This record gives sequence, structure tokens and C-alpha cells, in this order.
Amino acid sequence: MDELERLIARVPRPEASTALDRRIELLVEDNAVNVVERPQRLPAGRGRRLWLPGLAAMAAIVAMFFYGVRPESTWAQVAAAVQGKPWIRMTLADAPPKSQFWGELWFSLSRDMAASRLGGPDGESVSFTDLQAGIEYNFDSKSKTLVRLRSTEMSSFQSLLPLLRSLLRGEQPAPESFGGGRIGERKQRKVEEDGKSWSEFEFEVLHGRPDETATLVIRVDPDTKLPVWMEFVAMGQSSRFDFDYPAAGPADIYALGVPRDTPLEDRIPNGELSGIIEKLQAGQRDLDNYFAAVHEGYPEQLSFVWRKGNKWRIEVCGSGTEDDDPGDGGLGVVKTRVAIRAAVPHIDLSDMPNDETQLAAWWREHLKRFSPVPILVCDGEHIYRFQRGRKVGAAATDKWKLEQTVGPDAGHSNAGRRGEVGPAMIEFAAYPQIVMAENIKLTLDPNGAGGPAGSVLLEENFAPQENDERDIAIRRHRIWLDPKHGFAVVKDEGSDCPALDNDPRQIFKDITVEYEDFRQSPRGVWYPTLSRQKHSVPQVDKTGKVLRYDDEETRFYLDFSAELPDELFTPTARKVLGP
Amino acid sequence: MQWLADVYRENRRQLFLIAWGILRQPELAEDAVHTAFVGLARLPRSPREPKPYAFRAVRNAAISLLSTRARRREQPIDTAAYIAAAASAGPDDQPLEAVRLAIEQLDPPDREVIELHLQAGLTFQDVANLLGEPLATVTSRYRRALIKIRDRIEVHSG
Repeated sequence: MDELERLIARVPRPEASTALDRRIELLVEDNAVNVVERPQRLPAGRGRRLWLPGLAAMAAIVAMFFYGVRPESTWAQVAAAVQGKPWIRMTLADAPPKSQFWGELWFSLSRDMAASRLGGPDGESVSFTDLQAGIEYNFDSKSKTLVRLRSTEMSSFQSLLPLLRSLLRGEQPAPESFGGGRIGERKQRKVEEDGKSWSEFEFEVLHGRPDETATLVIRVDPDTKLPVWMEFVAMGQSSRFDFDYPAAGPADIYALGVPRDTPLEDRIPNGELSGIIEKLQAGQRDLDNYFAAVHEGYPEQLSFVWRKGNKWRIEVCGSGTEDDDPGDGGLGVVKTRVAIRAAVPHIDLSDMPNDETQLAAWWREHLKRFSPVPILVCDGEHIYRFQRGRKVGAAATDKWKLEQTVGPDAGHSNAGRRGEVGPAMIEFAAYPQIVMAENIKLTLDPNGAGGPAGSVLLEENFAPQENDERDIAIRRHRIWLDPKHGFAVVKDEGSDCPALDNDPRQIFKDITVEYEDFRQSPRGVWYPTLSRQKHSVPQVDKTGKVLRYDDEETRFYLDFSAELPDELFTPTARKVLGP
Repeated sequence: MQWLADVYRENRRQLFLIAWGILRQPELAEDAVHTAFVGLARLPRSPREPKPYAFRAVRNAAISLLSTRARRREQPIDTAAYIAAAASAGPDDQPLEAVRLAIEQLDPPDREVIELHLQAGLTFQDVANLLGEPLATVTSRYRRALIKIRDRIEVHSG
């Protein structure tokens, strides 16, 4: 592929003209003299998908603002004033015809309830959340569906719920618990407008991702100490919400305009399904305190994982040469795989001992020959990415970069959602993460149709998302679980993917993985040591014609007696289990 | 505003190609870059990470412009200079033309990853940040797109 990549890079492409250079130059000059003293309002968000997450994030920030920050006595008075109100309503300032979107968000701190109505050209979505019970109702006007589901961080309010829960308990949560967000620079100022003096609080809002820095401005009436409006500026877009404080608010989702005759679809698992989901969660949690070497067959790759609770570290073996590194963009998995194929055409593990208790000693002796390179490390609350630098003189400018701050209990679950980490962590393969969301329908077949004898089938059906232009998403995910092995997965199948289904060259329309050779951890948790991804390795003749597709095998070697000192989970060079 | 000038100067080509990859017309791509920079100029201060921030702002502006044109049912016009350059390609450039055609035939998401990485020079991590997708998704899409291009070239060349 290297030659092909070089060819692609040489394909001629148009260049920006000097006219654009001049336009930007003039823009910079204009703004150099016309310095704005506070954020200017930008056009409201153009896409529902753009501002919906922004709304949830903004609400979280408000929660943080009220309860977590309190930088000055003035703000303490504001927080006290807000808490004295039965309902807080925030309404999107730009409504039709000025904007094609509208929305409002409700909080009741005394009733433990939150609600929202968000509308646009595609219809309206309504949510009502009972924070105390952890139950959420969502209605979509376009599909006319009303679903009841358990509130999770993946649901429409996203990170808002844990934040609200904390603040409703009267706690002062750590900034990291606000969905990974934290407050950076803070400012307070007085503004004269319309003959009146207002207080304005401006906060720089830092999220886990560095490019998601946003600004929140809240204007407060100095007489009532209550916020009047707030403006959230992110990604070049801004949204302003006006505050008011009604005496009464919505008692349920129907009070927000949802027709009472709408059929309610209950997505909260109960009975046997609920029990199985709890077993999957327990498997993820309890398959713990291990060192693992994961050997993927195609493309050949060797990964190393250390896990201790919410702390984890992953390394991938490569050629060990700086030339293979992508440089400032961090260590790319593909680049590493290319390096492995080039420098280590075959990873020979034939002399690895079968006895798991001897693995640590074997790896201590043999790890060096694979030159593992760190990818990511999580100390439980922070995730750091290793970046291999260019060689400067005799030394390489390697460094670790803080990539994301997660909640104190979210370090492990975050790993499961990362495509570059999750597949190498056996607990997520053996006990898949089941997401509760309004667009996912979950069913259980106790007879395990289509799977190995004795298994039960858990099926997730994903409704296509609004305006989802990607055709690579799998619409149906089926996992067969084996009760004899603690409901660990024995077969995993993804199907109903338009990209596969509509491609006549694709013989196999599903992605199927089967799991074998189960063992038990010291805590009694079952896990497979071999996975076979069916018909995924093309075998070609000299002309490139595909003769057949073989299965790709991945082997998991786990050692539960390995050293797992805390320094292993810090952004530093590893001192144990290796050179 | 010095940060704005620096971001443009240091990433001029990438910014333009991010927009062009979506709009496929240089004039519109320049409009998208300019629109995004007007928005950036209104920010109260420099973002903490100006480069990825600007990349995403330009991509958002390009998508917005594209959807506006779609609503107006505007039809894309092939870029004269670009087509002329391809048409006047000599025998040595024929493989490049085959590759170009194969890229054009890709689905937009696949094409975007290929062009961002190999032509705009963004790292996979930059691409993942820009698209808001996991690194593994980006890299697997990249691999799949490469295979599609290779297959199409092989078909084309008989």
C-alpha cells in the first residue's frame, strides 16, 4: 500500500488563491483595531446535532457554576437566590422566524426533575427526567415514539444527570465529575446597558478534548441576584438562553405537549434481561488485576495491557524506530501496525509457556525483543497519550500529553468505548458494554436462536439516526452468551450494515466473532482465550484474485499474578515487566 | 488577532483542503475558510488549541455552505483549472489520473479520510479530532478506502 499512498499524495489538488490570503489579512487587520470587550453574539447553531450536545454541556456548566465554583461572595448570593426558586427555565433566545430552532430547558432543584423541549425543521424532541429515580422519558415528534429508559451518560442529557445528582445532594463535586469539564480562566465585570448596571461572569470552559474549549457568559441582575441570560460560545457558534423562574413547571412529559395517547415503549430492562445485563457489567468490573498479551493474527499485532480497577495501560509492539512514528500527531495504531509488518513479519510466540503463572517471568525476559511502545495510560481519572518525538541529537523528544480527564469512577468504562483500547481488553470482548439509549431496542431470546447450544441471545437493534449519512454503521448486533461460563460471550455478530449489504463484492454481509477456550480468573470470572473473526482474512493468488477468506485468530494470554504497582499507571516509562 | 494570522499562515493549505474536500470547488472552499475565520475573529480570545479549533470551524462552515447549496438545488460545477490540468496530463501522469478517478468514486466519508491524511497531511489523530470519531474508526475507514482505491485501479488498468 505504501506505493499507492505515495501516488495518492501526488494527485494534483487545487490551491488556495492569493485572494483568500488578502481576505484573511484584511479580516485580521480589521479585528486588530476593533477589539471586542466581551463575546459578540454569533449566528445561532445551524444544525440540530450541533447545538443539542451544546445544550447538555451548557446545562452541565450551569450546574457547575451554581454549585462547584462560587468564586466570590457575589456568586454565592446568586447561587442562593437560584436555589430558592421552585423552577428555573432557560429559553433559547433566538426563536423562529429569526432562527429555525427553538428550545427550552427546565430544572427543579427541589423536585429532582429536569426537562427539555428542543425543536427545529426536523421536528421536536422532548425529554423529562426524574433524577431521583434515574428514569428518563424521551419523545420524538417525527417518529412519534415515546420511550422510557434508564438515565445514563449516553442518553440525551448526557453528562448532565450525574452533575445534577451531585448538586441536588448539596455536594460540591470535583470539576472532573462534570463530564470531564473544568473551569479555566474566570472573569467578572460590570456592564452598563439600557441605563442599568449588570454583573457579568465569564468562564472559560475546558473539556477533555483541547479543541472543545468554550466560553460561558452569565449576566446577573444585581437587584435580584438572579441570572438574566447566559451565552455559550463553542466551535464558532453561540447560543443564548434567557432565564425566568416560573412558580410551576412540568409534572411529567405530557405536560410538555406530548400527546397522551402516544404508545409508551419501555426500554428499561427487567426480569431475566436485567439480570444478564448486571452479569455483563460484573464481568467487566471483576475481570481485573491482570497483565495481558494480545496477539492478533491479521494484521499481525501484539498488544500489552495492564489493568488494575480504573487504572490501565496499553502498549503495542513496533519496530522501535523513530522513523516509523507519525510525529506530532501521536502514535497511530495503523502506523504501528505497518511498522510491525515491515520489521517483525512474524511474531513468534511458540516458546511461550502454557502455565499462566509463568507468563510474567517469560514476558520479563522476552518483552524487549518486541520493542513495545506505549499508546495510552490511565491513572484512574486522567488519560494520557504517548507521543514519540523526533530525534534531536542523541535524545528523542518523547512526551506524554493529557488527552482527557474523566470522572473518578469512569477510567475503565472510558477504555471500553475507545476503539484503539477496548478490543485489546478481554473484559470488554467477553462482557460487551450494553448501551441504553432511545434509538436502541434490546431483546432477549432465552433459546439462543442461531447460536451455540445452550446459549442465550441478546440482540441490539439500532434505529438509524436523523440525517445519518454514514452507511458504515451496523444496525443489528447480536451476542450469544453462555450461562455455563458466567454469561461470557461465545458468539458476536454485527449485521444489517448498508456498506456491506449494498456492495456486491462483499460475499459476507456480517461481521462474526466466535470465542473459545474459556478459563477462569482467580476471582472465578470466565474469559475466552481465543477469538476467531470469521471469513476476514483474504487469501489471494499472484494476480491479486481472492481465492478464499480465512478466519482471523486473536489469542489472549492473561497473567493474574503480575506486578501492578501504581507507577505503572502514570505517564512515565514502564519499569516493570520489561527491560 | 495575531493567533488568527498565525493559524492561517501555518495551516493555509490544510484549511483550504478541508473545505475543498467537502465542497469540491475552490471558490466555495475559499468562502468557507473566510466564513469560518470571520467567526473565529469574533472569539473573545484565542482558543487553547487554535489549530484543531480552526480546522473544525472550517469544516463546519463548509458543511453549512454545502447544505445551503443543496437546499437551493445548486449543481456543482467542475473546476476548470483542475479538469484542464487532469486532461493535459502526460503519459507519466496516467497512473495519477486513475488514482484521482478512484478517489472521486469513493463514498464521501472514505474520500474525506484519504484526502485529509494523504493530501492535506493531517495525522490520523488530527483527522479523528476533526471528524469527532474514534481513532480506530478513522484508521479502519482509511484502510478500507485504500483497498477500494487499489481495487478500482486494478479494474481500470485491466
